[in-house]
Amino acid sequence: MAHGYKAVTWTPFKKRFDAWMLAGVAVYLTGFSAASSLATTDGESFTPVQMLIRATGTLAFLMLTFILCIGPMARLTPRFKPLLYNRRHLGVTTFLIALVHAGLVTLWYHGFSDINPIVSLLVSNPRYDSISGFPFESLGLIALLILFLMAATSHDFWNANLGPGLWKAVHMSVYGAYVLLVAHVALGAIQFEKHPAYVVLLASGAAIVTALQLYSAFFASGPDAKTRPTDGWLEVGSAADIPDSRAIILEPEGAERIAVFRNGNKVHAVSNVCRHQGGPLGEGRIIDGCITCPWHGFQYRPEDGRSPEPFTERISTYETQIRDGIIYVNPRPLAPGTPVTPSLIEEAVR
Amino acid sequence: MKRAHRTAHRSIWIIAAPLLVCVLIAALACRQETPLNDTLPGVAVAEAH
Repeated sequence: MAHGYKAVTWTPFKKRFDAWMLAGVAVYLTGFSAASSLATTDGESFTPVQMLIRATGTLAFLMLTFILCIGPMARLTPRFKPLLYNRRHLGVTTFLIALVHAGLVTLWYHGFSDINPIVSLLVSNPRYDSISGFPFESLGLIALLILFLMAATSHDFWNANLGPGLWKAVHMSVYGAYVLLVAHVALGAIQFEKHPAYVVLLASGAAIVTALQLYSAFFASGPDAKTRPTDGWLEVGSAADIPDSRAIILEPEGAERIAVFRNGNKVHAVSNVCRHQGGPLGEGRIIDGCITCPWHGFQYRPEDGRSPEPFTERISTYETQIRDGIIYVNPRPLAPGTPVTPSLIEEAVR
Repeated sequence: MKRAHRTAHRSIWIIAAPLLVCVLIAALACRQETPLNDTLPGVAVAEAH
């Protein structure tokens, strides 16, 4: 959690995750090749390289589709949260598979050209005014460059040095990469592959990602309450409405969201934005006395918004008070790491 | 997520969703029954048919 460079620590869970992921990649590539061989009709023939081009291409598309489903799915069911923790491993692997696909395509179809294979890839088809003959390779190449940028900056070293805001902005370009990838497949493989499985795969993948992302953008990420201050304080609601170790998220008008946590009979209010990657702290819970981010497990003490030693992250805290069983929050954020005395819930309310 | 990122996420998908639909419809509508390869001479294509 510190901002200095730290080598990636391979926890047993991460090792198991990566082993399953690599096994899945191997099974897919083998299975795809076997299934394609069986489905090949008379008169068709594919070399092992062409088979691998198709296998890596479809796998990269499926993996990126799956990656973009993880975030919204983690909001729907906690079962997806372990995947959220290691989403970057999937992302880097997707880039490597896409790189193999691009390398094989370039060498197989342009390696014998008189000019540089990459130049040949880009200039051999100038039909930008056509849909069915569009040079779809250029779309795939741009998507690959975006995936490279994300894979290269995926380590927390870059997150700390670029800052969570810029890092997040860079990594949101994955949505652009996905649109380019769908266009790459739609204007490429779909134009000359006649097997309906390709169309079904592309259309269903794009539809699922779009539906989940729209759901996440417009319905799942809303605050529990949008409030305007009365006499300078925001009304949160009854203390009894907050489950123990959980939070209610408030959205003050024109300001960042506030997470109001209940920890036993104490009420704490902190910024809803995790210092790591901007995760929604209010969707997490208090574990071992610390507010724990649902995205990557960063922790903060509820009483002062500081990460436990030896970590150094700090988030803003807010003053709270309870009047007649109703919790109020002062919407003015205190400096990150400022200790605040918690409000106490009376026995009758609990 | 910060406010700015939530807004950016919504804006991106307001544009990306219809764009994806348009790309898929256009690609499927323009799909040739028989794949064409303009680099092949017409005789070779006719022979293949």
